Amino acid sequence: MKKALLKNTLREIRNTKARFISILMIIALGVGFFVGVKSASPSMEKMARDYYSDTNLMDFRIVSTVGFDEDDVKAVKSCEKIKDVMPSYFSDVTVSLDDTSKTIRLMSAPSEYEENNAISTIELVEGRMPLKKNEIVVESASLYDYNIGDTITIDEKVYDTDVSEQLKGLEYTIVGTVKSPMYISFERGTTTIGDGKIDEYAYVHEDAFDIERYTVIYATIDIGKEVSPFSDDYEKIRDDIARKLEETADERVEVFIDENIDKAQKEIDKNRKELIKKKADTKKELADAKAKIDEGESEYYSQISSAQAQIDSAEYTVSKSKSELYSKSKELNDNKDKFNTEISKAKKELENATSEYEKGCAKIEEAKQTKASLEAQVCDTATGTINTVVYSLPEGVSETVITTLSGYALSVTYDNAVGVLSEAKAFCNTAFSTAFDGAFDAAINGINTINENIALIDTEIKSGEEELLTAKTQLDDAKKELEEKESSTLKEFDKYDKEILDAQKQIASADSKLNDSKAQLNDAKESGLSKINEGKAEYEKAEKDAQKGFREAEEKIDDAQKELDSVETPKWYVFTRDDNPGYSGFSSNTNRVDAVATVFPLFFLLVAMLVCLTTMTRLVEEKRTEIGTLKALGYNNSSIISKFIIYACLAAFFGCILGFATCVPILPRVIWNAYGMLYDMRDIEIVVHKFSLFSALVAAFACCALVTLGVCYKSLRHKPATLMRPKTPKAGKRILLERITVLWNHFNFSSKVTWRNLFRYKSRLFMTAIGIAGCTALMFTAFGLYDSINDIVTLQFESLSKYNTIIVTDEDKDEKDLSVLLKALDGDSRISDTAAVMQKNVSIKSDSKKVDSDVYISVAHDSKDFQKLITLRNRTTKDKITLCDDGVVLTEKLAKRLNVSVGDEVMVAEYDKPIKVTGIAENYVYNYIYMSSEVYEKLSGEKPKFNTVYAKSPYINEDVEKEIGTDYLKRDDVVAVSFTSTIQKEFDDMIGSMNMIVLVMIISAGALAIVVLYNLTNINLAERNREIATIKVLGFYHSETSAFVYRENIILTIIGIVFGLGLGIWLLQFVVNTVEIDNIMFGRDIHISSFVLSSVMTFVFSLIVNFIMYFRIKAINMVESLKSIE
Amino acid sequence: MSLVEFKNVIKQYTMGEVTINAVDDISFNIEEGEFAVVVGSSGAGKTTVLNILGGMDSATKGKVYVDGKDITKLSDKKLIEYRRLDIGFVFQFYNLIPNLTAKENVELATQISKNPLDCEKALNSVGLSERMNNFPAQLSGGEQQRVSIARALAKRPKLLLCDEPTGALDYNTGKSVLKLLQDTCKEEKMTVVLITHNQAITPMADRVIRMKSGKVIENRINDNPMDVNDIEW
Repeated sequence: MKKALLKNTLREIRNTKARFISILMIIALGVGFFVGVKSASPSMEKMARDYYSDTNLMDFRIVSTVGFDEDDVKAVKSCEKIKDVMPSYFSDVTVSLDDTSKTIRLMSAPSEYEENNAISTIELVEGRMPLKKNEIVVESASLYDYNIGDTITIDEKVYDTDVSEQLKGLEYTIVGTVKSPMYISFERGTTTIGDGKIDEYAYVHEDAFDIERYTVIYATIDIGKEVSPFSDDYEKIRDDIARKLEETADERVEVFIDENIDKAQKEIDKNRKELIKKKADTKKELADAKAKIDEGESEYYSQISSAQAQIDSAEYTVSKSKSELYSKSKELNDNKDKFNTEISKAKKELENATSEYEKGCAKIEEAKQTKASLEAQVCDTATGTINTVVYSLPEGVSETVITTLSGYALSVTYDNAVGVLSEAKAFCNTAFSTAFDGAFDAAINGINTINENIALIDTEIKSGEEELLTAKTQLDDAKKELEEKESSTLKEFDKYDKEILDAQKQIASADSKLNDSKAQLNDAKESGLSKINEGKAEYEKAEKDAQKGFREAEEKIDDAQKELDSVETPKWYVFTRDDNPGYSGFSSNTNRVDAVATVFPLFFLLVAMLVCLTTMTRLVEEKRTEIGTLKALGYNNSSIISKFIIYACLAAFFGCILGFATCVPILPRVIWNAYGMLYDMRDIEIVVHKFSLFSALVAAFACCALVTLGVCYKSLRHKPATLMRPKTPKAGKRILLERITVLWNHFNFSSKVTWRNLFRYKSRLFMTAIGIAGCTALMFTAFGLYDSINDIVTLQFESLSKYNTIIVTDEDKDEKDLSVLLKALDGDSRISDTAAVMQKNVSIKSDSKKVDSDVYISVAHDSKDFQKLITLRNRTTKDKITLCDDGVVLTEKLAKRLNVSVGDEVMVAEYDKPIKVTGIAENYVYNYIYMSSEVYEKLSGEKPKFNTVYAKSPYINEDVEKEIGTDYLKRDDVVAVSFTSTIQKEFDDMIGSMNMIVLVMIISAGALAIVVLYNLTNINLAERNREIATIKVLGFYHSETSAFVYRENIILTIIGIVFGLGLGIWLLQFVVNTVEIDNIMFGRDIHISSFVLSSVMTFVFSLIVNFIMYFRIKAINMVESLKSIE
Repeated sequence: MSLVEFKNVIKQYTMGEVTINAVDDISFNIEEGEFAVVVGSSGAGKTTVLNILGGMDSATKGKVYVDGKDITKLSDKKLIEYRRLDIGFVFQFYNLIPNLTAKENVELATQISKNPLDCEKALNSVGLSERMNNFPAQLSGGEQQRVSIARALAKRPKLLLCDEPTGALDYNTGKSVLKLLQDTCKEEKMTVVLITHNQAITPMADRVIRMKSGKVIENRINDNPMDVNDIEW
């Protein structure tokens, strides 16, 4: 290119800065906004991807109703395509704070050895990780003001479970704050305890848990890093693996059932059998014992009675013996008496005889005594004589003599008296001669005489003795006889006595024996009885004990059985990331941004093209003479065109750079900040959406270059001479409006000018109108979108769903239980209305379409109650729809997805029976097929199992929710309690994020409007420079002059707004349909405020431009009017 | 008192370091009802005079009295009012609003005037009653200039300023336009100031102000102004 031409180009730019900048700006806006917004989604995705991969976010979170063991972990690990598996623990606990209680999910922090392949690692925000079992890290977004070093005390009891069963300690010291990739939003998910909502999460050391089986398994997929977790590929792979995991789950559950439940069941059965056997045994034993006792008793009684009999017979014998003995002894005594009398008689006789005898004896004795006394006399005489002799002996006699004599005296006896005397005499004679003879003789004489008497007496005695002797003999004989008789009799008596005594003794002994026996018997009786009683008591006790034991055992078994039964069938739940709170929302949110981003560039490009077109047209027209001159100078077309191309492309180039430099770093952040209210992740790193950048660049350059080319060729067709002549100004023309003379004549002239001008510069008209329309449409869409989402909550939860509490009941409960619950709810003053429904996820198809996700059938327990809480109405006509018995009512979105209308038939896949659609009801959240119980029964052939109760609490607030949640979760028949306020909150958050998008849209729309209007007004002014100068010369005030221009702008703005609103309605529908997710229908009503706001704001932007332009109009030099037409 | 009086008017343009006196200390006056012609070659300063007189530009120094009013002292708004009520302007290139018909172009002026002529009358007076509803593009140059004159006259200005009104017209048309102006001056007692480089026109003027290099070199009264039809050039 020639240097001069380049210089010329640059100079041209300097001279037409405003135009250049206009093109530049519109390109910058178009490219920047498009690429910027388009980049938001990939930037967010990239950030999320990095975050997920850095933290090794789990792909699956598997929990089970019974926990896991190592085998389960292995089974999961061995599943195809599973990379890492990390078993772990968690437990939901509550912490009481002042007057409230918060539910916290305590998880075990990945311990050190797992660190290398730990899943869902937590990021430390502050402090350090828990190292001991009593240390805890809380979430960094914790709503409560925890400080590091504080102590958290966990409630000992979480409702009815003891925490100590799961945790070793209750007090934990906060050592840090963390962020978990599983909780990217501020939602914390649900639990089965408390009010059903988790308020916070926290991590403790693994050792803090005291659980035998793992409570959770985290697993990651072996998938390349290049597969985005947001891609369909990922979902496909994940779903495949999830299916496999479910299979594994089923297997493991069976194993578990085998190993545990069956085992337990077997054990229980065994125990029961054993118990039964034992019971039987014991019963038998007891029966035996009882029999024994009975036997013993009967034996006892028989023994006792036999013993008694024996005793009785013995007694009889004894008494008989006694009486015999008595008679005998009486006889004996009689005999004895008789004998005694006889004896005593005999004795008396004998005594008599004896006394006679004794008398005889006494006589004899007397005689004898006489004899003796005589003999004594003899002796005495002898002795006396000796002694007298002695005495009389002369003195001097030898002692021998005396002694001899004394000897004699001493030896004197009756018989020897004479001899002695004679000797003594002899002696004396010897010694004394006869001195003493005399004395002796005398004594011998006397003795002789006495002898004689004695002899007489002797004879007497002899005869008496003889007599006596015979008497004696007789007596003795008699005595002897008597004695003999007596002794023999006595002997006999003695013998009898002895016999009797013996008998008596025998009897006594028998008696004593009998008594003994009796005593024994009594003893035996007593002891036996007591023994029996004891035995009986023992038996009874044993029986009681046994029964108690059995009862206990039975209870134990029953408990075990109950427990086992309550274990239900163990179930594994395979959760994906989508089940993490906020996770799926994130991708749908990024998608939403993307959808919005895809809609707008169309406008920007179109407008940019138009801006470029008018600007370049104007430029080329202004340079008409120059082009002619250059042509005349011999420049060829391409080099002449190149100037304009360069001009346009430079504008495009710098516009791209500007747009790229300003919007791309800012917009994704702005959008991300908008989501920052929802997510707690990381700062994003801008990822430029390359395709959109490329396409935007191509579009920008292409539009600039092509437009320029087109415009230039139009001029270059002419001959240089023609070009050098001024272009004849566009002729004024009557417009269609003038035909309506009535109207036209009422216009003042400036209106006429305005209208004619409008139609004179059609391209400008279109451009401005399109630009303004785009601006209005954008804003309208933004506001409309905002309202649409905002309406969901108010419409769904205020106009349609009148309930605010959802109670999920135990599916196993029957209708009786349900009525109990309903009664309880009826009696609850906090709750005004209830309606039980059966809800079930199904898939449904129509002739042409099939919808198999996010569809629920909702079977009304009582249609009346149901319609009290759920308004079924047509959205547009607001006509009520009733649940009738010959068809179902579909929600609007579902009907749309199925492409059915009232009267068509649909088929619930599970039941394979077509059913008529009797109504299509307005509904925004989720898709439902409403039907009455009868219809359900007809469809499925079974009675509905109601599993959900909708309840309306007229004065609901957070506290009431908490109360209700806590109260009803305590019930056995209630599985979960949730509140529509939670859903409402989710939407509020969504709306919060929408605010920012709306703001971005408004700003960009405003920028668009300003650039377009500015540019157009600018060109307008340039084209009408003379005209304006002339008007000024004519003496128009500034305001009048401006109005001359503005009127057009204003009319164009109004036209633009009108078209914009029309376009906006279409665009809103498009965006809503794009952005809408399957289970949500956005509000379809467009609020007046959307119309008003977008119109007013467009107008405001237009006014801003007009205001800026005012100064430019003011600055137009009147001298221009004097110049010739170029 | 003269209707127009220039007193030591200087207009300086500063172009970089160079200061050019476009009008260099000029003084002249024009009486009411006069047909004045300011004549001079290109660059003599006549357009500057026109600009200042027309209230489109202001003098750097000096005073300009129009009907006893010093227009150099006027505020922007007053100046507009001055243009609006006191001045009628006829441009070399007619400067009709292309989008308005002849009549409407006249209306453009009359609607802002205090006591305007009837548009149709004004157009009649310039001989365009037939073309009243035509757009400028449908009119010949002379016709356009007539519309322009009609537009200027309809305002009933005190002063009719004409900037080379024949510059873009052919000889005959030009002549007829000049004739129109002269007649207007005479019949309506309109003060007309005509700026031209065409010396040949001067005989028809009541007053001729000749300029050269920013100075008035001649200001004479033509005692016997000729009828346009008698002038040839």
